[in-house]
Amino acid sequence: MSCNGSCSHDEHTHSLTVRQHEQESNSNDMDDIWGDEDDENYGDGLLRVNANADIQRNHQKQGYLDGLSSAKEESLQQGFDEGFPNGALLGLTVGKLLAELKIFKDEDLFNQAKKELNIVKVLDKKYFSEDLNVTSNHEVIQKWQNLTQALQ
Amino acid sequence: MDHEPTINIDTDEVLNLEHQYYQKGFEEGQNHSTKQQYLEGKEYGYQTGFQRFIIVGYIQGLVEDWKLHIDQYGNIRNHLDQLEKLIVDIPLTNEDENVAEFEVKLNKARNKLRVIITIVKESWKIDKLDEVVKELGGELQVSENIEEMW
Repeated sequence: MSCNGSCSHDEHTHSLTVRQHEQESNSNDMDDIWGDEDDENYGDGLLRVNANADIQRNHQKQGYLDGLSSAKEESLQQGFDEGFPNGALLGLTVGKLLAELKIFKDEDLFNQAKKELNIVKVLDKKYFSEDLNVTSNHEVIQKWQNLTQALQ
Repeated sequence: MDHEPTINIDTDEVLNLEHQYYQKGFEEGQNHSTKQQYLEGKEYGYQTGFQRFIIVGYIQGLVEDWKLHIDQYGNIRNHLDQLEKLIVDIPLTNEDENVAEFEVKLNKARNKLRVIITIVKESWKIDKLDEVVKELGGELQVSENIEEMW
């Protein structure tokens, strides 16, 4: 998560998912084409299964596409409200570290911290799980916390 | 006599199946985009929360240091207590009333900070502070005013 503000919809993810979805449908079709013993008992089992697979593929795909554009509106706000306090805590920590470094009066160290504790670095995807929760220790914050503790 | 093969189609059954398949697909698509949208909102939330609280953390850092060396700064004790109270109580959440409270308290805290800085003659501690905060947090992407974001 770079969080540089370009948090637009990921069209690639959407199209990729649609493709995967189609592949899954195709894979089901392949299973259906061979049918099972029950299908064979119908005599026209192959026809029925093929027609059924077509109906399933077409309608499920259309439903999926329509569903993609019908995201539940409150989910954006819900995500924002859940992310906000966690981002606030990270911001608090970073601000405090910068104040401590400022007081120490080492301009080079202060400037280095400004670079390393920048929003893009702190909110880097590598520190977050798939659901965007902070995973274990936040290395770069930990590093500067250790450093400021050593200075005091 | 040979009979022509007949095809019996139960229209209701076909339509019902179509609806079921469409519905299944719709739910999958909707779940996917709802999750994406939730994550997108969460990213914005992290970003905005981070940006807004850097300054609060910075003030906290200054207050803690002054308190640690209070014997050198005895004459600011009352101001320091008032400033500390303002920033300790600042709500971290994004409820409407909390955002309004944040604005009021931060504004008061900034003013109180200026008073203290003037008394202790340490203006270097807040030199270019707004620039530093901007550098760390970047610009707010959609609006400077969180109320206008949604």
